[in-house]
Amino acid sequence: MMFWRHLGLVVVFFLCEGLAMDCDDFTDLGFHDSFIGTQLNVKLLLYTRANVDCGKEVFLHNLTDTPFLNLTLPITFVIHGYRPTGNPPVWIGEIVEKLLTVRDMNVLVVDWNRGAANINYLSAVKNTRKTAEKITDFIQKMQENGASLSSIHMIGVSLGAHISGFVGTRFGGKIGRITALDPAGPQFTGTPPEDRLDPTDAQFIDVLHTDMDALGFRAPLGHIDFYANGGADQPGCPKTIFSGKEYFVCDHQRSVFLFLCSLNKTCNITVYPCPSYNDFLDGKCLQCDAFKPAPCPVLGYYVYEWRDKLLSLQQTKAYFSTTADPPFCKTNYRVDIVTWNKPTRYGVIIIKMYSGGDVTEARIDHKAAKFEQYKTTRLLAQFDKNLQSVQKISLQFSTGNVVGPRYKLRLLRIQLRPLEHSDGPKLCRYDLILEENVDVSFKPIPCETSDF
Amino acid sequence: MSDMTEFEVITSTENNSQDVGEHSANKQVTGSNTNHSARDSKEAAEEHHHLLQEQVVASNRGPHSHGSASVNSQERAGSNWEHRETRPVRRCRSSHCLPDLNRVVFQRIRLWMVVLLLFVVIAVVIMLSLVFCSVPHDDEDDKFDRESFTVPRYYSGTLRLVNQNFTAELLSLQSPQSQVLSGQLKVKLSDLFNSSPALGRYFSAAGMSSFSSNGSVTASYWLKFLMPQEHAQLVRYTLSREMVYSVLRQHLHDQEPRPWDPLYIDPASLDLDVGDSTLEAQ
Repeated sequence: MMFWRHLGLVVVFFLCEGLAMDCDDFTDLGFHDSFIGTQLNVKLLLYTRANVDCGKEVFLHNLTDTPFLNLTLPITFVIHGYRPTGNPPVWIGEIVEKLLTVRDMNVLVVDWNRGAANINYLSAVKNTRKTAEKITDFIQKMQENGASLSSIHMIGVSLGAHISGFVGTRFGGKIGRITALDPAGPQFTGTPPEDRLDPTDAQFIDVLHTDMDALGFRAPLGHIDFYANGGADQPGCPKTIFSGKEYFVCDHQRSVFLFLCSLNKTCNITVYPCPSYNDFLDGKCLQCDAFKPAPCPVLGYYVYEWRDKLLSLQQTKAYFSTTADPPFCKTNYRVDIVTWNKPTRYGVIIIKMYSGGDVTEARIDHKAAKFEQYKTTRLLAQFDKNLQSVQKISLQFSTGNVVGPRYKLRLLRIQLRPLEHSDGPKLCRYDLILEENVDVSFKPIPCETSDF
Repeated sequence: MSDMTEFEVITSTENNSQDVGEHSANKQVTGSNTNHSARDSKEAAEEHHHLLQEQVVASNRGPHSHGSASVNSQERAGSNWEHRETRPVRRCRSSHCLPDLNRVVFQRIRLWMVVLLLFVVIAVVIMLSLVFCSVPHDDEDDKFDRESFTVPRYYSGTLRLVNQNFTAELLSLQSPQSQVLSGQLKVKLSDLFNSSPALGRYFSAAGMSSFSSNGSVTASYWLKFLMPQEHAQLVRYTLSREMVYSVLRQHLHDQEPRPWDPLYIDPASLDLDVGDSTLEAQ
């Protein structure tokens, strides 16, 4: 009896082992492979809700025999970029899992690590065309077997974004959606549209820029282009080369992490269509009038809900700021200040909000704001934390002058309006004197219907 | 002056070395005449003596010639102590590192005085600019002339004293109870508006026009402000209904709800509108 039980366990163990052995993994290379250089080899790994943790390689010749592949469901391609170290990307597992949580679909991870892992960036760039050809073959085969082009979504990171673009061109822009996560800039900036991703490559293209001053692409490439923190430097990323590898990849890789955070709706990052990041920081683009009655668009996966409006606008640049750590969202307030001092004053404002033991601060110091008598000065205050009920607010005015008189800013009214939670109460305070560099605290009161 | 003393110091050290040299030479002579080494050393000492004399002469001529002489003397005289004696001479006199701060610039004014003066002037300029800049700045917003404020503007409204019990006497404004209560409220309102940075300068008077009952006491009040002749902007902004009402309202929000305070006003009960001058006459 005992013997049979033991035998059963052993058999189960080996069966499990056998199943585990069946998983096809992402190609794992080392730096030495990258140093020698790799020959292009494109693999497609299928993940579905039935095999979230265990990829199945898809082969062109017997595509329909692939277990779990269901061509009636949407198909999402995930395409990585240049891999100088040869390691699999750290975010592959997470993006697969989160996409499958959103809905049931076929996630196809394009593994072109052999080809992308090369110390020479130029040969990786050369391989993008060939990789696109391979993916095109697969899509054609899927089309023959009943898949529709509009149900295809391609998520391309860096070089992968341009690969998506090349694939899109081959299908005349009929592919449903391309999401470009910090599309690569070097070797692509300044090239004609057929040599890179462009807005005609898919029915809807959303692009996230996080490192446009180094590895990313500066100009808009899609129907909506998100510029995180202006698109160049990301908070929390090292500023000097002494931090090693992180210095090179942190800004670029942030695009993937921002997209991952958008997948689980813990906090939606609202974006503000605007001509420039400075105009956004100046509070000039907080209304999203073009989208009314819909609210401002959100970053990432769910921007698809704004698709029709964005397509009618042709091209939209949208800005937002983030914190240094996941989930990256900031709490924005529109601040309107009316002053009565006769001489016009210039300065920065620091706002602190208190709720219980919590405190959060916004420094509106990207430039000195102008305070003119009886004119409304609009500011954008960005807080790291979202406080539920604000009990106390403190304000500080500063001109930044080291010598010279200490000016006073005389406020008739300050009004704070939460932007992301428009149902939240507008907070007001009247008749304040802000002496330079001195904190003034008060209890906000509900705003009165405005006379001015 | 100090140039001279320095020179003296140098020559005296040279004299010392010269004395010692002579002394040792004499000793060696008295020791043994036949000793070759002694004779040799005597000759060396004599030679050294001679050189030192030359050196003193040279040092009188100038630092450059002196320098070369002292180097020669060192090379020829082998003993260590001589080496030690001559070294400071070489370092001080032949170096070009320090500019001659004692150089006469003009009559009795020396270079170091000029340098010092320069520093003093710079310090004084910095201090003066700091003093002038941090002089209490003349804030034109703090300057106003109440005499020129002549045009009246009235507001009237109601407020509820939730901790007061209504008595029939309050119906007549002449009754002692009403007089006391309206006096207290007047002080409260006047204090509040007088302390307002934006409205204080325009505030003139406050008063009660009637008391009525709806469980607790509801008071009708009026406020009078005086404005300058030019007041179009003032009425739109500083003395707008929103401002006057909100200054009063936020003050009431700031007070702690005290059930025992008979003058506690319920912020939610507050009401205010632009009124006319007939209110004051009452």
